[in-house]
Amino acid sequence: MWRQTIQARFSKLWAYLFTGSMILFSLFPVYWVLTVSLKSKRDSLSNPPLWLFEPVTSSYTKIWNHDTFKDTFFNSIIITLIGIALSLAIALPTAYALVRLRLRGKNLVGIWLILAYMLPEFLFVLPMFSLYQWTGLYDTHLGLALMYQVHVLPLSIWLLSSFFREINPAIDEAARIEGCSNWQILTRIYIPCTLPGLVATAILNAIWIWNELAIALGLTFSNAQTVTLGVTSFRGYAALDWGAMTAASIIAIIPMLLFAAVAQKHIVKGLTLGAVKG
Amino acid sequence: MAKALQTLGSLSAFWFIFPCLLTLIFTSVYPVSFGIIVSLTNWNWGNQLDYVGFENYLNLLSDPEFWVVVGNTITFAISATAIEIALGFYLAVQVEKLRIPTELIRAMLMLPLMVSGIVVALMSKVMFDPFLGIINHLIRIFGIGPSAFYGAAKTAMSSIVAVDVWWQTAFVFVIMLAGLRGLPNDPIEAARVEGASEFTIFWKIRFPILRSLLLTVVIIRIIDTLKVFDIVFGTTGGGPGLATEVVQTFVYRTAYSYQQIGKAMATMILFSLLILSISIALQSLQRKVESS
Amino acid sequence: MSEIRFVNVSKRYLDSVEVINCLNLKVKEGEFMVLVGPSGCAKSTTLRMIAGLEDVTSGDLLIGGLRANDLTPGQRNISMVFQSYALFPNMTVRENLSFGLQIRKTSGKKVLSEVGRIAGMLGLEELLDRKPKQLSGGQAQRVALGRAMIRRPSAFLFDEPLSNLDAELRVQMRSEISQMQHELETTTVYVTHDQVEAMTMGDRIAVMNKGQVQQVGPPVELYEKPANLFVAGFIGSPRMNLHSKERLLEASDQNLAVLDEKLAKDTVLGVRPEHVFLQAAKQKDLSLGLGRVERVEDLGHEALVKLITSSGLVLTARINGEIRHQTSLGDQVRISIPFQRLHAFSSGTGFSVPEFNSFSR
Repeated sequence: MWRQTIQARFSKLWAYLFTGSMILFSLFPVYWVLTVSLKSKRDSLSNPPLWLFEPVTSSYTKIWNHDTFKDTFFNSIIITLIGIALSLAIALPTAYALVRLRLRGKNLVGIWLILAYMLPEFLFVLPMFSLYQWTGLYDTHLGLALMYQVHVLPLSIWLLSSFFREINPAIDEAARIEGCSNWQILTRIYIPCTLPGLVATAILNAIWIWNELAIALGLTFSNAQTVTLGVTSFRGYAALDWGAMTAASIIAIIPMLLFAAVAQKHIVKGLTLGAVKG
Repeated sequence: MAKALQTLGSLSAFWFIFPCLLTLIFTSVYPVSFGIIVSLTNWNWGNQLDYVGFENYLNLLSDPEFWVVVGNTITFAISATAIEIALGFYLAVQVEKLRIPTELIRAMLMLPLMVSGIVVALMSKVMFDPFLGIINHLIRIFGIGPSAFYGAAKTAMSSIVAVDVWWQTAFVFVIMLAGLRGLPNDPIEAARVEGASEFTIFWKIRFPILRSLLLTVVIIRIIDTLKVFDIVFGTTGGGPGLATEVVQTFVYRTAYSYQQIGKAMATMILFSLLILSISIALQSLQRKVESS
Repeated sequence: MSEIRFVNVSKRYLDSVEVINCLNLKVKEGEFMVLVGPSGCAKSTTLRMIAGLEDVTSGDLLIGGLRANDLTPGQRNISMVFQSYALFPNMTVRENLSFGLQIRKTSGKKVLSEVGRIAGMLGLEELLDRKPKQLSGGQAQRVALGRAMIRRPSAFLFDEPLSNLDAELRVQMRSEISQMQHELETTTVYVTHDQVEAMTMGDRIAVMNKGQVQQVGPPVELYEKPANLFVAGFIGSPRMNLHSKERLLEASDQNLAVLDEKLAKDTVLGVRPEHVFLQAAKQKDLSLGLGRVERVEDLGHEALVKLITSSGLVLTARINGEIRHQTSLGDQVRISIPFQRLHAFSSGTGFSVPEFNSFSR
């Protein structure tokens, strides 16, 4: 009996210790990079690294006034918004049809979505590169958003489907008897009923689009470069200017941290559902 | 007439999925057919476009560099996935044991997941710097190092694996924690009443129920790590030499630096086939686990 | 208000067996028709075909004399109350009530007055701004009723609407729905598996089994003159005692050669528990001699007694009044059944044998 209690205590203590060290492991790099971004150039290059220093914001003001970094930040906002709007506009009716409407070959669409989800980025970036140059979509916000929309579509459809599936199908029937068309059921009942799920889907899409690199690298040149490319541009002279590199990184992270703070529950739900579907 | 109604019903349903179908055609049928056609040519983005048959494929398969790249990719995928699964699952079990509101704990542990791959890569460059980086400074306290990390062929790949572990372990953790919390309580309590130890309860009751979910996470992570690009591109760019070159950085280089689109597309087609067969194999394994 | 008719209607799901085969049924204008039957008897499918939620595979469905097979649910001007109520979760009670009118582009003023009328009728005034989540089961049920009534539809359809309510509320809603239907005189089709609902609410009952209508008629008629073995066994709780002619007559200590001759060989005889008497046979009674009391279920106002005759025949009897205090386990009691309470069925076809039934009465 005694032994068991001690064992239980120890196992609990270990759980706290382990969780604590993993939290440290997760947070420390971000903390460290934040400190580097606030160091003066001399402090950032000191050996051994400084734990205590006088914070300065010169790196931030410098990169914010940098020729293109600010533009990439706002490009990313625009592209993310267009991408989310497009993907939801396409995913909503599709999810509704897959969940509630009688349709031959529904399963086939599902399998196709899984396949599209698995394909590596460069398989379609290169063909799209040619198509985009030909159609003039290359290096445009819309062109990039179109590709992003495509990439987040499968996950959006899975997430929305699982939210829709939670709605009692009798509600459809009741609405049908009241005289609703499919479209009215979707817009007047399903969408209002799953608003939190819709927001969760949008947030997950936003995180994915905001953080994407390979497609942006392949399909933009200057006009529509995203923030990930903006950060990448500081990679070259990294050893010389850690301040700029870390400050750019922190700026790129901030919107995602805001999302995580507001919508942690939604993100967890989205990730979990996405995993179960995928 | 009843038949007419039925077709009318499914016609409206068809319009509901029409945009999605269009998107799928636009983004999978077109690129795949384009890819297959171009992979049979020696196109270089320019005017030169000759049919070369399977030359690109044959050249690739006989090119030792290609096999090094494939080997690197698979090594990376397997080691990163293995560590992430073990660490993430173990962490989920430990956090679940705490039995306290874990919202804040989960939020802190999830932080890396919110960071984009390229930012993770640049952050790691700052920390892994051989001379001024904090990591070398810290491990010196334990009498290890200093290490060149990305600078040396021997350590570059492990460094990238470590970065991916930092980045993606939380994914495994979040899903497995949700899985653990979703377990039915009754069988566990029944086992406790029967006097089973926590160890037995975990391996005999909880783990078997979670096995299918765990396998799903393995599939997702394997496919994701096979497709790795950002963190390699942002850190070593494939070097030193070929030490960390993976398929997607190899293709990027082939297409954009060397302008060999035919070869790049041939690589992508082969690689997609590899991913497809791996995921089919894993999914059939999962079906077996589910039915047993 | 309109009559509903099924003419040779069959229903088959894609690639599967027929669930309804050649259904003919007429629900008269203003009538309260209850569809009752065991689960899987296709009563709900029948209802959903009226609603337009299921296609009719072949045959004609007529609503108000017009062929309705190809009309959408919205075009049929019917309304339906669901087992789960199916209130729109994102709308307040007011919006739930007015939704159908708004879809039909009714003027705002008319909507307002109609909502007022219905809310007043059902006592929903206080609840108009609540969401369905904030309603109790009974309140949600009332809102569902209101939503069904507000459009003044030509027919009401009910799909087991009371099965999610607790017993007390169920009794109350039962009478409310009946009363409402009588006032509005709207054609009503009501599906239930609950016999008490069927017996107490319906003007007529249609008993269904395996996609076929077994018998249609007023509740008492179904109880007293079941048309076949299925209805005899289904209606009434506890079930009617059913035994083959030989077994029943063999248990008797009377000479029944006349009766035996009159009935075909494969006849099944039935008697309801309340007609099994624990007393010596009088004239015109079938005497089953002595039987042993195997089990007594005393419900307070009555008791159900399981009896075994010396020949091994098992019977359930329903007894009430003081006599139940005199009956206890293991007693030997005399058993008798009035001849006129016997029902005869052909075991081959299952149909009732009308000649016998008229002879014995």
